[in-house]
Amino acid sequence: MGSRIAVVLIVVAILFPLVPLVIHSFARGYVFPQLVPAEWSTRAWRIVLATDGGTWNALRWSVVVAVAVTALSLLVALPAGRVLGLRTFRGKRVLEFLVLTPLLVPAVAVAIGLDITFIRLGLSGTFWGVVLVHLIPATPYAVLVLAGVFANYDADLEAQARTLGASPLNVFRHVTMPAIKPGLIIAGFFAFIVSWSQYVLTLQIGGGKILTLPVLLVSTASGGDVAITGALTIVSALPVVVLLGLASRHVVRTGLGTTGT
Amino acid sequence: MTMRVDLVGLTKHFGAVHAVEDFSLTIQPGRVTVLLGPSGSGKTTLLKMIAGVLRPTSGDIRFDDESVIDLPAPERDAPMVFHNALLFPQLSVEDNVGFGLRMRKTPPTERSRRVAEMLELVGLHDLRTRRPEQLSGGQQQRAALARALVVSPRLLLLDEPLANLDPDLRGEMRELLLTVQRSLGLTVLLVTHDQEDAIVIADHVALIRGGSLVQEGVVRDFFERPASAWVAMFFGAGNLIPGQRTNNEVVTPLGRLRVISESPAMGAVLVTIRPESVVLDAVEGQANTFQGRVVAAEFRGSHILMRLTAGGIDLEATIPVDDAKSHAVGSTVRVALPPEKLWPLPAD
Repeated sequence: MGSRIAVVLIVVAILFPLVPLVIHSFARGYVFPQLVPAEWSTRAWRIVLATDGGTWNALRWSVVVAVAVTALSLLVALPAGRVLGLRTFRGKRVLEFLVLTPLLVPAVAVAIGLDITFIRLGLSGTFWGVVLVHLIPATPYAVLVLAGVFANYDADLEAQARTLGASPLNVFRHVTMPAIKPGLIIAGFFAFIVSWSQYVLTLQIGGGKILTLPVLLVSTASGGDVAITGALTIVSALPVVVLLGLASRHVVRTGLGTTGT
Repeated sequence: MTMRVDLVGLTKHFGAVHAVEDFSLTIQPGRVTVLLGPSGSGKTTLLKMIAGVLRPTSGDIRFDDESVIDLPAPERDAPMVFHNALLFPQLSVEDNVGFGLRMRKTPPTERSRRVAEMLELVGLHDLRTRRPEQLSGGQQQRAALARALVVSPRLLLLDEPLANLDPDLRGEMRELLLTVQRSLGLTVLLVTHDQEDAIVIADHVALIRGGSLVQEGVVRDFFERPASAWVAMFFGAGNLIPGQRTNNEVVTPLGRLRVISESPAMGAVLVTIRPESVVLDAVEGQANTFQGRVVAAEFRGSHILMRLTAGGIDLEATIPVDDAKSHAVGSTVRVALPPEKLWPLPAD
């Protein structure tokens, strides 16, 4: 019962800021001190959702980049989280700190330095260049979550399955995967939203060629049309809100960082 | 189906920690061998090496004279039952038990038949659709046993399968283990820190300490002819009397004791005697008698444990519960140590 109230509060907290945006996006000439707009219009939405407009292209870029970042960061975080969660070794604290350093250094500082290297490597202005640079802030979150999952994981379960005749692939499918799945979903969700909300790194490395939603949104916002900006913001935020709704079921059901063992 | 296992100079080092050191043992086919030792003595490490989930630093493991060192765990056919059951949480009891058969690609009809048979045997048939977390500790342990047995293993490895059970469940589980083992003629290696498990279940006992084999044999040997003072103490011998042995006589603080023993220990020795062999109220003419004083009398349910002192030596003796009144604390008592019950050990 308590957790249900918490979920409702969280959902309200997330959705409430979107309400003024929705009002703005349908308003024509909405000025202070009007409580609600005097006139309504779908002009902004028609422009934003126009098939020949940039929105769909930006949405496509955002999705493709975020999915690639999610997949690659999980691929890195799975073994890294396993070692950090299960093993104890000399220098583990130092390593844990190093994993977190990308979150301590401002993205702009990193981006400017990396830009030169990326130009040299021919990665500047490319899809893979943007994916690679998004991995810098995305991977630490994924590693952190999975390290927590593996800290509560009994690796003897895998030994048990092996002595019963399970091949390495079957051990992963039937033992490891079911145990870490909730954590994997949360880790993937973090990586996805970190990539999804990235502006500075995308602009710096993408060089205006990889136009994701945040890049489009910032340039639109500087154009000064509040209605269009509002509509575009909703388009940007909606997929994340939906994903959060799906992922939160796992957080509530299992508790972050614990598995079903 | 049943087979002999030879451990040859098995050694496992974790960095500077020597978990198992030059361990050799033969596990006889169709018998229950109990690997007994205090916690942290390397028992589980040994079991994991035999199961194939841990690679030895050196040494060899042979199944019927064939080295299995390079054989991966899934192909060893030696399932291990862990002390905490380790059922797969997302699978039902039935699917847990059928896991090994599923990995072996046994046809579904045969699989469900064998799983049902096994569930019947361990008495979990009615709970087959339950999830592991809905089972009690004893039920989980039985499910884990069924899961290992259903694949008709060549060797069954049990790691403290009774440790987490209540006393009455332990007895039940021991009986189940023995029934199953006898009816299937299984080769079993059971690891435990509890000598009572060894006494009840074992055909053969191997005592391990600090990763090395200390003594092996039938249970009685450990009581009657311990290899060292440590073994004697581990099996509750209680009494250690220092002395100097020449042939059949030991000079001790209690006087000259006559011994009738096959023990080869000569010179400086520790003479052991089990508390239940110490005689109180010795009669005239008995050998090895001396005066002792009662220090304490402790009620132990089936008997009274008497703590005595004589010649500066502390002794333990057990007497029937009804005899307690005749030996008040502080009173003196005539003690006798029967020569054939004394076992001299090298004092080192």
